[in-house]
Amino acid sequence: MQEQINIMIMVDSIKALVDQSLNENCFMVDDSPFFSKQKGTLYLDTQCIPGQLIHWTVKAVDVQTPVSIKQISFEPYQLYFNTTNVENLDALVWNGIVPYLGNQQMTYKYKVVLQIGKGKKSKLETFTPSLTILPPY
Amino acid sequence: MIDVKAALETRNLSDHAYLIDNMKDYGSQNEGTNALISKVNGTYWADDTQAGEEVMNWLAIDINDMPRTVQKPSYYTYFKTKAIETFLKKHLLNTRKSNPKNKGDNSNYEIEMTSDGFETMFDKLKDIANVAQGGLKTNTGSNKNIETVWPLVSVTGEIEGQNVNNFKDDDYINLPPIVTNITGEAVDLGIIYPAQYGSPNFITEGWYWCATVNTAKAGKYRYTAHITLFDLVTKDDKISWKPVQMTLDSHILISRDPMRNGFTGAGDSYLPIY
Repeated sequence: MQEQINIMIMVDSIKALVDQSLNENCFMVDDSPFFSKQKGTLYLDTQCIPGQLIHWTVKAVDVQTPVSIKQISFEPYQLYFNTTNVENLDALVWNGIVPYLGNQQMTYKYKVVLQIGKGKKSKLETFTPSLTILPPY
Repeated sequence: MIDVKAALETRNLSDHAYLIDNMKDYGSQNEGTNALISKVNGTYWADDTQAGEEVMNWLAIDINDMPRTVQKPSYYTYFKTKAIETFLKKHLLNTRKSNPKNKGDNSNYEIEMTSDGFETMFDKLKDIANVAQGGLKTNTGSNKNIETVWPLVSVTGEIEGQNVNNFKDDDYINLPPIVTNITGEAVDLGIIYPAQYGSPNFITEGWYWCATVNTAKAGKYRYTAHITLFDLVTKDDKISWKPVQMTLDSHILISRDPMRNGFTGAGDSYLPIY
């Protein structure tokens, strides 16, 4: 079994800032072996099983523009760590192990907050992607 | 950003340079002065190796120049540069005038698709293409000055041919300053690895200087940017540009943060789902 699933978020930073929205300006793909759904959109549904490591990375389509992950959270679950005061977002690695939560298939929507440069309107978020945890057998 | 005319007159670059970077909110100091200290925020893994790549680009621009659009070859910025706009307008306008069927309203640059009109337009477009391809030519016979087929442009974006007398108070735009090398302490110590790269950036005719930064060594390092300015020389009613080499000192300040997990703030663990 593949131990790690990579989820890559690609962003058109300039257009996202102009539109003040990630909608249509952000594209998510993964390399899950379990046939994820809606690849290449903001509605990516990553299929995974307990014990796998999920690793999120963000890339700007125009490589000279800035973009970092500010936060990934699975609401209503509380986060272990608050990134509000983290100065250098490039020093954060966004990965975690899929927990074992029972034998039924469950889908968890999550929120991605991206930081594009700095300033009042530089944080953009989306609630659309999700993680589907398949039964472990 | 360089006050090219003042720098050429005084032959002093550092008093007429204003350095700006995009790291002000991340810790750069003395923005907009000649004493800029650019912050470079590096990261490292637990085994002390460099985690992320930091890259620096240098772009030189004349303070007297027209506002530039974002350097992006996309459909909505492509024809926005005013010089190109007026250049095209002027040529297409001439086409219109040369076609006797079109008289009157000059605000409309459409060309009638008669065979005459089409050929005239085609010739004009070929002229434009030739001028664009001509670029700069070194004339070895004239004291190594550079002759150019580009016409002089005023600060308002009007194209005035090659007669310098058309300009009041010398308000023509100089050729853009060009970065020609990056040297100094930071290069000697292996902190930055500069090189010249090709790009669609038309300001420097497709070349720019770029460096990768070795963020393994935190600290403040000096580097020297070598910049060529161009002085307008008029001789026998012909204009040419005399290259003047100048240097400018600047600094980078490298800091480094350890990589850590975004969910836990420390090591790897389970996702926050429970």
